[in-house]
Amino acid sequence: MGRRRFHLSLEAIRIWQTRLGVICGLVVFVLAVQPVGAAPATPAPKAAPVELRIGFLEALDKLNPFQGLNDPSFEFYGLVYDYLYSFDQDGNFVPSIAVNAVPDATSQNWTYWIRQNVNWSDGTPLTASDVAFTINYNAQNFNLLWNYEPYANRIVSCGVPPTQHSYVDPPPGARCQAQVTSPGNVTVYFDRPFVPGKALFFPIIPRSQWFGIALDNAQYRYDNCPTSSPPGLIGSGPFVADSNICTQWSQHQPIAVHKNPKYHPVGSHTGPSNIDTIYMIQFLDESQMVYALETGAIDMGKFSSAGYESLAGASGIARQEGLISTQYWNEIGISQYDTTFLNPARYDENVRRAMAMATNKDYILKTIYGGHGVRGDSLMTPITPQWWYDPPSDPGANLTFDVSAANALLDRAGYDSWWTDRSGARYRQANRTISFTDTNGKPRTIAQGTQLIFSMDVRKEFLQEQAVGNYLVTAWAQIGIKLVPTTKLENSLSKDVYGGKVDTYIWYWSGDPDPNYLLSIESSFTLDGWNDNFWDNASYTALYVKQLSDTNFTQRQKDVRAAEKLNYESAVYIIYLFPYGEWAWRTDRFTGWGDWNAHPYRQMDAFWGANPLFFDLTVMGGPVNNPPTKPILAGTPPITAFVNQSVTFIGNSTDPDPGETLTWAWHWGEGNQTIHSTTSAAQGDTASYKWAGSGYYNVTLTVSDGALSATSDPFEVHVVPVVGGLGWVNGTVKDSTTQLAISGAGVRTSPGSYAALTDSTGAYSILLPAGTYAVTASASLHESKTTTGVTVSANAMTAVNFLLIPARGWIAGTVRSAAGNTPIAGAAIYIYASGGQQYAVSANSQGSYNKSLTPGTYSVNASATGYLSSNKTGIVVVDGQTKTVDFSLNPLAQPPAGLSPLVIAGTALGIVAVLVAVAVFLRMRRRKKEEEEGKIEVPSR
Amino acid sequence: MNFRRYLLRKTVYVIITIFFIASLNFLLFQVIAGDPTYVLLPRGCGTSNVTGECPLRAALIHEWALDQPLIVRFATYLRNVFSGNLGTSITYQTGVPVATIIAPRLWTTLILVGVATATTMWLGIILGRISGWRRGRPADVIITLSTLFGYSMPSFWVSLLLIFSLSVTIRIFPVYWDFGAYARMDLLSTVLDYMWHLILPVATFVITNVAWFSLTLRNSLTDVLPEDYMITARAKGLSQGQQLRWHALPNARLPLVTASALYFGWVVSGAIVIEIVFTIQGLGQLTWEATTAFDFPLLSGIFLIATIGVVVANAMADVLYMFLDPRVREA
Repeated sequence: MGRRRFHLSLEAIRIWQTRLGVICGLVVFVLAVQPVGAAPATPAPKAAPVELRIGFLEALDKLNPFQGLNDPSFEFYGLVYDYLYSFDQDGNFVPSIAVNAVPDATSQNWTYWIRQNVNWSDGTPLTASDVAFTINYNAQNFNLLWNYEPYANRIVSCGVPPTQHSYVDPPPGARCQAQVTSPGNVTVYFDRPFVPGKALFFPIIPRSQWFGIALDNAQYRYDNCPTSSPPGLIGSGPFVADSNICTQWSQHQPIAVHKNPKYHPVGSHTGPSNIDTIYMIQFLDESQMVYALETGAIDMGKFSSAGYESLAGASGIARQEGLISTQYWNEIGISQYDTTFLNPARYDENVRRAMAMATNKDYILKTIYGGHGVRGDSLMTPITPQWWYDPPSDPGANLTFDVSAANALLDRAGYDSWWTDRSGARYRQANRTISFTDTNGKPRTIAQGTQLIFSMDVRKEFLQEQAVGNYLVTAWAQIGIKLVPTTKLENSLSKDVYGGKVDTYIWYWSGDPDPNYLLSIESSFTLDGWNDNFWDNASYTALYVKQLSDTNFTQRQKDVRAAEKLNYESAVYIIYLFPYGEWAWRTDRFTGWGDWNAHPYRQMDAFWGANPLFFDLTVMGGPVNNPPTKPILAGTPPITAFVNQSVTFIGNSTDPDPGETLTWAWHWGEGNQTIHSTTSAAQGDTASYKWAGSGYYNVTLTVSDGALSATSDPFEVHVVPVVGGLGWVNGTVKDSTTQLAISGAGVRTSPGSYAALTDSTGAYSILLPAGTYAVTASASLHESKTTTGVTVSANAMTAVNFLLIPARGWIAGTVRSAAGNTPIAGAAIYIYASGGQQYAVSANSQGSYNKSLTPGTYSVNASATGYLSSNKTGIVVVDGQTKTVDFSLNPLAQPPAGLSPLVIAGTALGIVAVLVAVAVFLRMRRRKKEEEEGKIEVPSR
Repeated sequence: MNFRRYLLRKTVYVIITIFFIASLNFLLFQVIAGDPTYVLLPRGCGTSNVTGECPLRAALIHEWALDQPLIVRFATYLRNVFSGNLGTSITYQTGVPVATIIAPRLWTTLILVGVATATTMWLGIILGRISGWRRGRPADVIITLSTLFGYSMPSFWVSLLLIFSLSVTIRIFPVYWDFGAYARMDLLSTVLDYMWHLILPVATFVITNVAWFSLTLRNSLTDVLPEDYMITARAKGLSQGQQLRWHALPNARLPLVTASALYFGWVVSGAIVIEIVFTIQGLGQLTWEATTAFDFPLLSGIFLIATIGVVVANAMADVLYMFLDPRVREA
């Protein structure tokens, strides 16, 4: 027994030695590869190219912009393609490929002025011909290519036969589709007045690539890879697709797009993005995406409610949730597909309305979605309040949650007999033959005994939608309707819905901010395309078409809401929720995320090209580029000037970044512009202009630092023909206290609004018809002053001098670091007046700043490289007093890091050393035992 | 038995089995409900009853030879399969050859599954040997309980635990696998990075599957150790290590070979979850994506490859038996 034990321990020792060897090897391996292997999960060093990694839970399903369905696909198109117009962060149109879009007098034909000197990513120039081709390609045949049909279905057809699968150009000069009407202009012909002419969100594609691709091939097969024939993914967007994008996409690797260094100005962004490369990464498992964000492997992501909640309180992570700029909503669709395969009771508006009335949307929002959204009802969401139809605020709406009313409605409609299923539950059936004309205008008959039992498809990928389906089983059972939900993958659901294989379904829609797109999907025009419930209501379609032609905003709003109300009351869509988008991003790598609720069109979902977010994000640690302040034009608009009279303007703007070159672009409102360049030390520019013809002109000034720009409010000039009997008002404007001349003061007459600015000596001269005027002088930091009863005679000068009383206070203070209380030299301080004026100063070497201001209420923002910015509001400046506003800025947190490689290496080496020592000891001990065991003991004689 | 004849016979069996698998694979996708043209044309033309049928659908039916008799399609299919043509993807990556899509994924999965299986077998044999030799003792109880505990845990859960503990809390291992980064790395960095990323997925495999081997070997050893030849071995003075290596293990490892061959089929399916959680672009994830995209040719190709893999693995196990078991050689 003892011997056995002894041998067992030897064996155990051998086994342990093997294991120790393996462990040692593993540790050594870990040490060997750790620095390399850890690299991808660690944020790039500052000197490396700036990379932004975005996590998604859905796939970028197609590289071809005519085939994509998922949001990441459209976000990708928005990065690599341009559109005619894009949006600023507040949803205002900003020119992109079109620098202007002008409807003709009938509002029926729109002419787009195409931006010049733009190149495709392959280096060839983008021309008006490309733009016309893009529109014609989309408008030729909606049976073959329908992805962007809502933007094109009112475009006049050139009559290309439907059997023509390949693209053909419209006849030159014909007033149909889109024509290049001058080298830089494209005119699009609509079949009626068309209001949303700027909201044609076709990705602009190169004619040279797509011309030979048949329309149906583009819609269904062509993959648009750089390696396909012809080579694809040629765009003009702010980013360029990686040369390996086809492999990345086909193997589900992160999709890489690189900065387009020659990207044209869009909105306030005049240069390329600060980001060198964006990686779009799909995670099939949300937990892993959460971990990736927590460890810094990605910089931002869009999450479900569960993922979003799990990131609450996470260090270095900011979260935001809110209504999505893409108008996202969830609906219960009730198919009107013309088939005997499905339950005919779905045609009956009374049944659908009863379903709607038995659906407690507030319960769904609160219980199933945890309050992460807004109760939904209509086709447009509150993200565009001007188009949103809100039934609770409409006294005529009558589909509010009311189970008793729903039961009463079904009783009245003839479904007042009952049947019992195997479980013993009772449901309604038609008590008689019910005949009616459905909302599609077709006569229908419900046979007596038709049971109210409906199938429903619900997306497998969305647990909350499945919960809604389960809730509806219970809720609709209360009104005697049996619902049989089936969970299906979205592809399968799509097939059922568009193939007319299911009575009801839970799905979603999203679209752009103009009502055209989302209203179109319920119109008869998209029955062969996007219309998924096959609702074909003549009144609705008429309203849809009418609102497109409403040039009066109020009328359009009324018609849009009427169409939404019609759709709501027909209950072919029971829209139940406007869910929140739920995003999270790291706060320690980039600045410039902004507020995605206050400015929803900078959400990562805003895919209409040139998303402001991707221009504003700046990597931390690198130099922060501050924008110039919004220029202020001296004087008070509007003013009157004579034809060919030189009018001088002074514009003021400040850029706190020293050493930058500022470009001052004066736009004179008739296509001409004057451009000056200065250093950022200059805080103003002067320019003069003569208008050759009479009319009203808006003068604007855009100041750009090469990457960021700001544009003034328009300054209206009314140019009138020269008349006889002119005289002058001359004089000076000086400070009443110092008697010093005030330069740039505005002097203006009333009536007539004739005006001039003072020069550096404080002198001014106004040319104006003879008469009696009130003359007003105004200057910044001074009180305005008016002299009345000034009589001007023909060919004579009248002198009017002004002494303006100073009116100024000061905002001053210091900017210091919260860590160490050291002054921050060069910190940028922006001061915002309640009237919209902006002023900027930078802190001196002691971190101090001081700005003279007109009395009023201001907010002040301080920022500096390497620090979190800080904002202070409600600061009241009083005449003659200094308001002290100090800032203590918090340094930026460092990106998360794992254990230091040194710590890991040291610990591991220690473990290895101990293990090796133990192994050596055991080995020696074993050998000794074996030697003893192998000894031959010779018996003693 | 003549080894060459045995090998030839096995090869013929494998070819016949693959033929039946391919036939079944073809027929399976013929009887599945659904029209592949509707998968490619889920919306718009051809699906609406408003404007009637669309020529696109008819063109697709003709192009995919769906208008041909079943037997003609079957013959075409077999000819294509045996010439390496698995068709083209219809939705996942429209127009791309299935073999082109599968090839890189197959390599990834083979490396993952290969390394994981080898590691699991190696550890399983060590643990099984200790457990079997010390049956009934604390070491046996601990090993059996711990391996069964790992075996009973779902692999997604183990994956998440490992990621959370070793990638998030103690940031030693990477959270996700960026295969695209290899385009920017040199060969050595690629290999090292690849191995580094393999550690957690392989650890998941080991934790959840090591019981398969350790328990098989333990039970097999339990049967072998009371045999007469083991008593003889002890009686002739062999050390316990020698008894184990020379007499117990050669007899106990036969069921292990069978278990390994069967295990191969399991790991291909088991890889789906691990590939999804660790974002590994392998065959498992491709199966999931092809299923969600209703890409019938791609699914068919994946199933064919996977089943052939299992058949070949079993055939190899049979051949291995010849070397390991004299009774098979003499039969």
